[in-house]
Amino acid sequence: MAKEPGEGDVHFPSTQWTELAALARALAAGNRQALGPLIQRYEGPLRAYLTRERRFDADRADDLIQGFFLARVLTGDLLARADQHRGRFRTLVLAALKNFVVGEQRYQAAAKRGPERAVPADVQDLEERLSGPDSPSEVFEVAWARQVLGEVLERVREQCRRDGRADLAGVLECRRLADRPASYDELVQRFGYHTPGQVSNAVRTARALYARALHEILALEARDEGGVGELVADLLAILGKGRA
Amino acid sequence: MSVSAEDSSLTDLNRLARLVDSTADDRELWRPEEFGAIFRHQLTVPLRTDLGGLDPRLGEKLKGLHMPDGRPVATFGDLLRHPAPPVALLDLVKEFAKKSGRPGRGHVPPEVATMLYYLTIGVALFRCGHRLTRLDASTLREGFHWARSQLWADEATRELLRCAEDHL
Repeated sequence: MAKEPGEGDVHFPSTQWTELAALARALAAGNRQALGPLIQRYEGPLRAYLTRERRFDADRADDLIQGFFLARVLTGDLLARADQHRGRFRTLVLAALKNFVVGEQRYQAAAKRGPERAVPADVQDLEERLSGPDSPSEVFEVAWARQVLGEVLERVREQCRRDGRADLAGVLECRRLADRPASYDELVQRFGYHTPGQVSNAVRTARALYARALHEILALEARDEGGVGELVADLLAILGKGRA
Repeated sequence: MSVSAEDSSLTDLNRLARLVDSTADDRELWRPEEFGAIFRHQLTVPLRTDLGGLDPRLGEKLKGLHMPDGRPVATFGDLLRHPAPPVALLDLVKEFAKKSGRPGRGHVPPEVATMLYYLTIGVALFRCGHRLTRLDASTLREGFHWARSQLWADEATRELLRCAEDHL
């Protein structure tokens, strides 16, 4: 019997420190487009942080984020520094954004007031709030978790479409994402499975596809194989305590 | 393709957590309240679909085998309801049941496979006077009792198992 896509043992690609290092090399070689996935991953969470936690308006937040990516990622050394950073990559990104925002606010304040006058109180206040010890931002963390899982789901959907197995993505979504998980009978009716074996295989294969996609997506910012596991644990912790 | 963090399918963090969690463990593929539906579905499956791989001569064994109403015996349910099912076919179903309930890999949950296993043995005992297994009477009695006590077992199955137990 032919093997269904994703069926059988899930073999995870090996990672080292890792895809970020590869991105840094790509960037050094002039390939800015390689950073697309990284920018896509972090635009939303950074925007959520700036607008919902720091109360920047949306336009200003977008300007800051664009400036940040240009100054710190595309032409800066954020990726290179990631290799020396011991903590989570997203922590580094958020800290770098905070520093960038403080710098931008100072620069703009200086441009308005001229060289001799003191730093305005609002910029000082922002500096104090943003420059303290790196504390996790729940808004940022939840937005990061949503973004990651959205990417995973989209990857699963794409692969199922390519393989002509749209039912597998459907099974995953209606069993695990619906308000009320679809019952066994509903799966049989909706997807036309003829035997319990087919249904079980579909559910297992869908879960295996999801597990593999999750691993691949998290590998973008994991230090090593163990790092992916840590990031999965992070996701569960964030989703457990964050609420929309 | 960019995925918006506001995608309507991502609004419930509990569901997202369930999705992440589901990758880790195969034990909960099905909920116990789904066992009845799975068992009923298995009984509607054509014998050729699930047993063809176990016996290349299955077609010959099914040839000429009909239900009392004249229909050809086609499904697992047909065979188990037949008044005089061929023992060779029941033996195949028993083997299928043993293979089908492997945790993490089986076609059906172990509980459903076990139900099918004891039901098949019970049918062979009650309808054919034949012992399909070397399990002793005490073990069989326990097995029949377990199967009868499952809330998801239908009344016809329970009745058959009771009759089988009486024949021990």
